[in-house]
Amino acid sequence: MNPVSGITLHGIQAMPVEVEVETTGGLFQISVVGLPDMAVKEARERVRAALRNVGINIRGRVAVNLAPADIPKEGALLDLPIAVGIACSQSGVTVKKPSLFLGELALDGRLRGVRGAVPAAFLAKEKELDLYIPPDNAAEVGLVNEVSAFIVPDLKSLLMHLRGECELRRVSRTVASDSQLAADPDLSDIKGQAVAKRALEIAAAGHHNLLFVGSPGSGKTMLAKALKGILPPLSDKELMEVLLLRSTAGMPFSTARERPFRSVHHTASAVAICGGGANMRPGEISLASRGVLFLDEFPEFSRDVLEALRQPLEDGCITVSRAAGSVEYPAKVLLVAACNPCPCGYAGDPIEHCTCSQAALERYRRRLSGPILDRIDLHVSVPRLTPEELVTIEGKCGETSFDVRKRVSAARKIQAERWGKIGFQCNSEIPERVLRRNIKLPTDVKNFILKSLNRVRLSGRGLSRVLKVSRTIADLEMSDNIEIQHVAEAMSYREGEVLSWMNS
Amino acid sequence: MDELLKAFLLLNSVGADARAWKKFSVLNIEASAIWKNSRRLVNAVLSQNAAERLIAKEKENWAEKEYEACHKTNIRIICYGTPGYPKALNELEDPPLVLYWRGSSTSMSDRTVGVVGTRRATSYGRRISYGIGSRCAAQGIAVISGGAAGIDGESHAGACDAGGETFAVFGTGIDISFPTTHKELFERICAGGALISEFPLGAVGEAWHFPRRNRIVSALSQKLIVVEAPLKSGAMITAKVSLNLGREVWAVPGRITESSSEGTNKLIFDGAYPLINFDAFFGMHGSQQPLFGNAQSPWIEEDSFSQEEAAVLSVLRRENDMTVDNIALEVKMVAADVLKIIAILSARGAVCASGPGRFSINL
Repeated sequence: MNPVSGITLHGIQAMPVEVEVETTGGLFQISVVGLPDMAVKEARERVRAALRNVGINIRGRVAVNLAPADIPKEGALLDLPIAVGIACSQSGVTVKKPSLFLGELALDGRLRGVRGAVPAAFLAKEKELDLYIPPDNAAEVGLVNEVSAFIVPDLKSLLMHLRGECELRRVSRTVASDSQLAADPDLSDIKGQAVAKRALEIAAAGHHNLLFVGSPGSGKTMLAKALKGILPPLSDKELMEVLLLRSTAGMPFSTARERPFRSVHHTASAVAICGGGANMRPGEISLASRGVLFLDEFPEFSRDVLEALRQPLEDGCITVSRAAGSVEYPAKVLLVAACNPCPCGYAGDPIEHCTCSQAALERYRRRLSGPILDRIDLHVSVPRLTPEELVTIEGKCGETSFDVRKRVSAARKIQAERWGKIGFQCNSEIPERVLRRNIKLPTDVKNFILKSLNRVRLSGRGLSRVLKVSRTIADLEMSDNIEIQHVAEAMSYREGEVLSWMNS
Repeated sequence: MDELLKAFLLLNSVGADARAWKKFSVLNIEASAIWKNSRRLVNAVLSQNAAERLIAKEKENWAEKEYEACHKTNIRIICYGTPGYPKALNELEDPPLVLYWRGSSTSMSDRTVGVVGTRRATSYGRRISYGIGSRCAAQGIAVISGGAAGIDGESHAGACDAGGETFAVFGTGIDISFPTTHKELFERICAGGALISEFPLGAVGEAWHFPRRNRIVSALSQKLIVVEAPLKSGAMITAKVSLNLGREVWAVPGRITESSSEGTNKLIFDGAYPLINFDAFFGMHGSQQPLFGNAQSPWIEEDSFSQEEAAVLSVLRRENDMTVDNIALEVKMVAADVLKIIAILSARGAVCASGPGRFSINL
């Protein structure tokens, strides 16, 4: 292998790119081959200026080949390996140990941060390569174990290091902080809304997707944000996945084990949500992976976007296929959707009156149904409180996020023990047939369900969603068996119940 | 095809009612003469326009086609003056000539209650109408209404859910589901009652159809309950027709601040019976005593509630539309526990959602 390599991103994986340089006589020219994109082609100018600033004037015709030749290369992160390759071929610098270089060059030779440093670190670790990175990326690479990485402040110090004239600083290991996260907002900051808070707890415990229905100003967004704070902290493996994704997207990272929360506006395109685009980036659903994806004004999203969400919600990953090839991004999100009860937002509101026509209401209800709702286990009404009601409950805070998170973590542990053998983690992931086989219902509970089914119409799928939620509620109470109260509570979160009061 | 039936169908299709037929009888015109004889005869009773439409329809064999279509889809055609024709309709001065009739009930008992009101009902109105529907069903009283959204739909649904007989009178052709969301409800009405319309198959709901429909609802209902109605509304027209027919009119009292109760409160002011509770209404209606006492629904026994459940119920009896948090304050319990109790109570049907995140006693 050529000792000078860079990387290009394929999904969240780094692919090694060998940089070969040949110089021949003739007029000065640099040509780059190997499917470079615009950013890579423009590297010529940055590399030439940076090399001149460290005293290397390029002579002759320089051909730079980026191998393998059939993979498209993208991004400015190939500036540094190209510069090192040219320096090797023209000024006697040698790279002894095979190494990965990445960084975008400034004209004066300084290095700028790039996206993809973490995938590069994983590649370097796997292949036991040395890694040279810009200072901006040092902290995130430090979170990756056992990787031999050097911080390159500028091209000059790198060339001195390669000549053995001085030693570059190594990346110091950073450890993810285990300190308890302050939940923001904390559940106790939210007044009232006991039902919604309880639903958040169940959603967090069993990884059930959630739909909030409520008037503007009832607190749906705040509740959704609070969900992040009651999820258990990221495990090491999950943290690495989050880190990889953020680095791939070029987003700032944090060393805290806080779960991602992504709020998406309803004008977002399918590509923005699912990933893809001209140079393949992860979409919002991947950036929210292992955390919460919040879709406010749910019915306003285009049908295409919602349909596109269905498969990743089921599989926990999303495959983006384009002419240039297909990549897979993780997409294991907890979906929280929010919507108004009607187009004007005030149906059933105690203060404002709804001004929607019957036809508008019907249209809206039709939008609020469909296959994507099949993936949402918990449907919850969020009432807007009257001023009198707000005053009465003032000062009653309820539990803090910290207390709730403890119960959630315990319930998750129980589920992992129960389903771990067959490869699942949470109740929501259990396929229907496994669920029916494994859930044992006492006779009185069965009778209760039968009686309830006479009162409410529930499809087969609806029933199994109720059973899954019942299982989670029982787990939260550390109960081995599902009891009547668990099923009754699960029933109150079923689809259709949120709008039942405005039926027919 | 029977000539009388054909004559009725044709006359009905151009909007003529039994008054026209009576005139033909006075003039001693035979059924077949209506379209075979000169236009002059027709014009004597019908307007020029209607007569032309009638003759055009006869030429294209419209009546035969209509009859065939009804036959295929199990729709019965009941003519004025035949044995199956509801006697109550004869009290109208303009009884419909023809009724299109679809459903398992083949005749109408004389124990009927009409429930009418606005389409834009409040949750209060919905609960009351549903409650009236199911209480009527429990007492074997047929519920008559207009099949519309809001009050009408709830009263039908209440009767259907309790397994009772209910009749929906359409302002459209009987084969049209209007509103479309009631398609399923209409099938359920067919199973335990019937759909009725005087309009030909495929007729869309034109504005003038609905007052016509309302007179049938009035005539078929021995007693009429107006649940929620603004001052100017179809329900008020229905109430007026009922009063003119000498029927008992009941109105459900509402808050004086709600425009949807202005009509009903006005009716009470003008002397309609106020429906202050169900027992008062059902006690006066016929001789049969309530079958279930005060029970709310067939599988709730009052004394089967635990102490906490009873506490929550008593709070909800006192005040409507409470959120879980406010109930928790009233009964001095943790909100999470109240939530579980509410869940159990609503699964048992004792409590229902009356607004977003708000609960009330189920009637």
